[in-house]
Amino acid sequence: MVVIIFRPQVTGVSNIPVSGPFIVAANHLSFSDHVFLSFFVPRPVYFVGKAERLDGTGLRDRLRRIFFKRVGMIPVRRDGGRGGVAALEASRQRLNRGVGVGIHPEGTRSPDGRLYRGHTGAAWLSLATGAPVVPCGLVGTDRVQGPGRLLPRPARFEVNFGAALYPTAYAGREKLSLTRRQFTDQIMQEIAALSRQERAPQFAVKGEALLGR
Amino acid sequence: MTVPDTTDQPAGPAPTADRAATADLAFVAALIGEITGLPASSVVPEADLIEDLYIDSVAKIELMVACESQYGIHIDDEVASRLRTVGSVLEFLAAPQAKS
Repeated sequence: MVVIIFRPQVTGVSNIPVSGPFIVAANHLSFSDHVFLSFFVPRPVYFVGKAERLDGTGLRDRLRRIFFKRVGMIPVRRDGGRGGVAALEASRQRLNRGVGVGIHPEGTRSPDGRLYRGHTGAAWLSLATGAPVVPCGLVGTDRVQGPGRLLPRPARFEVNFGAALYPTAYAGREKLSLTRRQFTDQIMQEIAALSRQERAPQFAVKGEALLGR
Repeated sequence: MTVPDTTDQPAGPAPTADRAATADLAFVAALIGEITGLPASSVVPEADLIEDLYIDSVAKIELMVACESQYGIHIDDEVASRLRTVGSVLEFLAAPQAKS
């Protein structure tokens, strides 16, 4: 149904490994990016998402909580403290079971359509497990479901997967933060080529996607 | 031959404090070098942990845990998030709560 209504253009699906763990690292434009990615990645993939999505006591909060728990979301507290590392540990355990983990290295939706500096979680996971990173560029998913919009609207979008990046080039330096930065920059460069976004040198600030429109 | 004049050297606790600060910087520089892969010489007080030294959230926790172990203290996440430069880490370690 997604294909009929939205007529998405999907390329590079063959870059997803047919077996073993993998990490999909994608840019982040829409609240529903994980839904689109789950639909087009041909194997189960669990997404790292903000823990606030599991908070709240209202009816809508509860429905949202049920949905995200059913899709196996890995909650991450985005305060940069020990809670964030717990989410990485949970993701590593999933990878060690041989499944896929999805992550948006920018950490939050782009406030202006540019591709922001990547956080190093995807690189850490890859370096810690040996799982390859499949870069993914999303185009136009914000037109389908932009910030603050409850229902999706028919609009063309693209999902472009790039060649898998293996951490073997960093052998012997896996635990250094400089290595994570270098690998992350490599991942973001590939995502930028796939999403055709202009680069922003700084980290995106959470919440600005809603304020900026 | 001139004899160095040492009569105006500060007396009392200042040299001890200086030595402690030097030791703290040496410890933090070696630690950050080990965590990041950068030369310890790049760890100067004015260096920004994220922008200059590539300290990400994992590295920040490694840094804090090692400081906690070395100084026998606990550093809350909230406090850690406010420490943005090498200098601010050194100031925190030199403060009475870190030394007690």
